[in-house]
Amino acid sequence: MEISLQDGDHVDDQDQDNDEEPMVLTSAEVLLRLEHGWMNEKMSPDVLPPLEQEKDAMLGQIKVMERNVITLDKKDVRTDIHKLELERIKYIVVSYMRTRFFKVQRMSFALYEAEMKRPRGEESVLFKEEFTFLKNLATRTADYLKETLISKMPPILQKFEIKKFRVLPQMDAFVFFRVVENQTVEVGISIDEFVTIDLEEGDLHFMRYEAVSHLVAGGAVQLI
Amino acid sequence: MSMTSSVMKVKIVKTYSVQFRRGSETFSFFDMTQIILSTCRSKKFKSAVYEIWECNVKLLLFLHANMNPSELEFLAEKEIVEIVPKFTLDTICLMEGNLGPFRAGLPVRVPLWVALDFRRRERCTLVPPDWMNIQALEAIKKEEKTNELFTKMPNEHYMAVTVVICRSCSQDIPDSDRVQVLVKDIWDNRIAKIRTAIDSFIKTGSSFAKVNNLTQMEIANVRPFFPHALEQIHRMRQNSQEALINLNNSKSQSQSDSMYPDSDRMTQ
Repeated sequence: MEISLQDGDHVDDQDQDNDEEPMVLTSAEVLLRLEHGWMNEKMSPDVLPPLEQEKDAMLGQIKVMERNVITLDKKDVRTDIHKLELERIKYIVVSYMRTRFFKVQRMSFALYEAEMKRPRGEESVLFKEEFTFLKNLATRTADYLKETLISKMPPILQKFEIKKFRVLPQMDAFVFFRVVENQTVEVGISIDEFVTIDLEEGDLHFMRYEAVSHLVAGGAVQLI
Repeated sequence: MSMTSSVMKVKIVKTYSVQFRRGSETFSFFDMTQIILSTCRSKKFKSAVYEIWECNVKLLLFLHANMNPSELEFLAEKEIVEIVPKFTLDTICLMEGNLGPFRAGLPVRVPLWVALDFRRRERCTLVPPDWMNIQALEAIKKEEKTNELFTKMPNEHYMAVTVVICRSCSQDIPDSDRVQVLVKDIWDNRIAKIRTAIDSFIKTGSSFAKVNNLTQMEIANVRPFFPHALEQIHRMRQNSQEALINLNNSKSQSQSDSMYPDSDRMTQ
């Protein structure tokens, strides 16, 4: 969230690797992104890529605001409004994290398996803290089940198969969404039949999540 | 007492477990626990299994993704309304943007949540939104009745905004009782329309739809039931199609070297 002034030479240098430049957004834009991410996260059956920068930026802002609010005059009209806004922002951040947390708990084995199989270059869908939690949860649940349950089974059933315990994200769930950018998607109407549909900006649609799952994280559609 | 409650929970698990199956892949935990609970005799062992089970049920219920009414009100409180402040103040810099400047007696546009806070402290009066009067709502109601499709609502959160405003500052709205009744009428009309639409949607067996002009609250109203019903239908259809393909395959191959040929093919 910093805007640094640069000399002309430096700008030329950095033109080549423009993609690595951190995006400069106002706090209102960050908040809006987080809000949309929160709604997407609530409605999608899958865990979406984390809004790492947005979350960190907002948490930083909250800390600054909390420090400032204490120093304000209590009789001032502004104090209440600032406090109220702080609470609203906190709610969004916390609810976002909580929604993700429940999903991680729910699909722990499937996510853990996916994390283990993930190739090096690919970005994780989890926050660092979430991954630590997931690792503990998955390994300890497996240990617990082995100790209490599986070891007491007849020998033929004494194998712990992650495949049978995992709960996969339900990709064929139906979702409602608003189109933000024009798109075309393919919707399966039976096992081997597909229909191509044009999504126009501003329209509301209702279809299975698997058809639009690749568009959600990029912000081309907004789940509602 | 404990007996009946456990029976209830078993039922919940039974109904919800179905939804998380894909083919025969995730067929697992719940069925296994059920078998254990019905056959095992050790109380300690049973309670351990049951605990895990209960946690899963809580998560399942939570994960029925939906917005609850208070969350929708939270979103509706971001709508911009007009107020007439009773004080004078410079611009307030908020994270969402700047507010004001406020001059006593001059109308100013602020988010609804700010307006509600000022109103509660008697620091302003609220100017009702331009659609929140009897004439406008009557017109909408009439149009909604004559038009077969959904008409565009004046506000994305019309229901939540009305509820929130009438709850905390109904004095500022002329004929607030009548306004509430009218909004409820429009709501009922639209929900009835949605129900008939759902009916024909399911009967035609389509799997996508354009639902322009529906509002978030209306979607949340049908959500727990409608998408899940469709998912069940979809899954049944898929399973029957898979079974047909399997049947054809087995006819052409007419050989089975596995002990459980059906279950084998299902997981492939």
